[in-house]
Amino acid sequence: MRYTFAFYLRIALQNLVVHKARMTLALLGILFAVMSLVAFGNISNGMKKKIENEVGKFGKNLIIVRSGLVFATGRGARQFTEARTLKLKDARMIKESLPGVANVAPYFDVTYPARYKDKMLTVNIAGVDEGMFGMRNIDLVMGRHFTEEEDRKAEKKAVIGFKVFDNFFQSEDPIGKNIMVYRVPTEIIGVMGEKGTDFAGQDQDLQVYVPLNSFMRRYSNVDYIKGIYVQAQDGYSLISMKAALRSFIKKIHNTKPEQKDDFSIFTMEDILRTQEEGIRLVSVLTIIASTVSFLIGGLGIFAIMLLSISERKMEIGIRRVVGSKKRDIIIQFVSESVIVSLVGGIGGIVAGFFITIVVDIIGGFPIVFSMNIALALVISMAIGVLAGIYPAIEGTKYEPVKVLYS
Amino acid sequence: MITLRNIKKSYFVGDRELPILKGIDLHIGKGEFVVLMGVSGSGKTTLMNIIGLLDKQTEGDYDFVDTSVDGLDDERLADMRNSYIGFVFQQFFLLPYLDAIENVLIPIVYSKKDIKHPRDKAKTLLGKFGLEQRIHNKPTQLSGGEQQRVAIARALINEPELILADEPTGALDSKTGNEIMDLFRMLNEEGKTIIVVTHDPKLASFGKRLVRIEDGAISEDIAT
Repeated sequence: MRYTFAFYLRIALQNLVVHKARMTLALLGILFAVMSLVAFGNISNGMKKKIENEVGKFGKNLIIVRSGLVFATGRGARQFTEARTLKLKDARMIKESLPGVANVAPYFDVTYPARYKDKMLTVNIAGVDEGMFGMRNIDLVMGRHFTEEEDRKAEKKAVIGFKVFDNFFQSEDPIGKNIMVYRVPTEIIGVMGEKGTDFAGQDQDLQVYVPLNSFMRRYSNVDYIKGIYVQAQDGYSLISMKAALRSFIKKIHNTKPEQKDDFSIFTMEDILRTQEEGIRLVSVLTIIASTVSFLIGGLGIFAIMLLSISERKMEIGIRRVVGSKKRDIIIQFVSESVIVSLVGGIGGIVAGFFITIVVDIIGGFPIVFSMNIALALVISMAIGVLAGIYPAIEGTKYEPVKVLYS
Repeated sequence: MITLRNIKKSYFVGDRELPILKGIDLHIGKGEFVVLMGVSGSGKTTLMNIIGLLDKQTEGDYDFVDTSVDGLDDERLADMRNSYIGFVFQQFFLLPYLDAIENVLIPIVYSKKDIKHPRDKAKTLLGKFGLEQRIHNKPTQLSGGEQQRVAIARALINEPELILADEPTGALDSKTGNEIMDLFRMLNEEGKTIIVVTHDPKLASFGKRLVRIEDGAISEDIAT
């Protein structure tokens, strides 16, 4: 046996060229199957990567306590309103009394227009203490964070998000300038780097941070807070911390067992889990879809190979006459079927990569290429063998004498 | 080279036996040029298939290149065909999607012989038959005579001792047919054993020996 592989490869490729329409149809099933497998593998890895990146941006080991909704009765109107029961001292008590807590950062946030000269922008104004910057990995590109002393003295100073800076100042130096927040002139002392949207859905680039004390006394007159970021020490399980935190707050709020909580607690993992479950569901659907596609593709190749073999009786006859054995005929037609299937597989990989790039760019996911490629090629080859073996065996049943003299 | 002893071949139609060959005794030596003549239905093609190891006799013994081939299996027969016999058919049987030189090279794929530089050899053969300008043409781009010459080059590529041609001029006009027969004569002069099977009496003069088959038996065997 000489020339063999190159010879069969060329025959298969020539068949592809000669019977373009037919072969393309046979290829398509495999192509779509591989395409969905590769594209989905890449895209889901991209999504996971994006989630990982955002976890990093959001901050490590964080548990978020938010004031809950309560059913308030008053002046004839009954409605859900935000509970006003979460207080600054709750945050202090959590830090002092709950084991495993590394740090806490209370905050109060509200959406409100800010103004600079004649420009207006709706921003999220958050009163925070200086601990928040460290917990949420907030890095600055200009200026500085505010200090504990500035917080204590309730000074009117702000750290602004990148879009706020970009909209108001462009090339101007913002440090030391005053913007209007709640009709309160506020001096800008720092500008955050670009961070994008965080997991709570908040665009962090439209954020204006002011000291919490200043917020509660000078911007708004409140004695409660909206929430507390609690950072667990490394090595503590967030799930058990969450439970401990819940019962601790219930205790200090004197919540009776039958009473509904006036706060809610969630962690990064809660949000991640929903997203990852989504990815997993889509992944199961993709596997089902590509399995069906592989089956259809295999049947397509099977049918085309049967047709091809009955059309090429003369070829089989003359090959047998000049010394081909049944085994050689099987090898020839199975390699043809494998090559057709592989061409489909390679087409699918190319198409899959194309889709990956388009989806990742549109969806803003980092472009990641997974190792589904090798798997896709192995499956394509296996389908090629399975689809080709029966038609090839059929081909050996043509006896040269009968084929050539009919 | 070829010794047939009392070769019989029958087909069964239902339970009725249909004898095709009724006891053929024939010896063909190395270097002979035999024209095997007979009308349609005389059994000449069946005889050729048996000689060419494509079919098996119902009775009798067949020694090919001095060994009995009666008990050999399909695989062994395929190897023998590949090594010892070059086939030429009326319909040429070239593969339509291969060009001339690749058609010539088909037997090499299955060859156990160590043919040196088969591509060069194929080119030389095609050149010898006046096809040097045609080596990359597909069969459809060749005339009948050219296709038959490609088929003969294919029969020769693996250096067989015997050329077995079944109605090689049947699809050609008489001038081209004569050219093909001249080519066989030339190959015979180079030492190849040639058997041409035909119904055409005009071809008898090209060979050195005429064997006539009538109704499944040899009716005439003469030197020409």
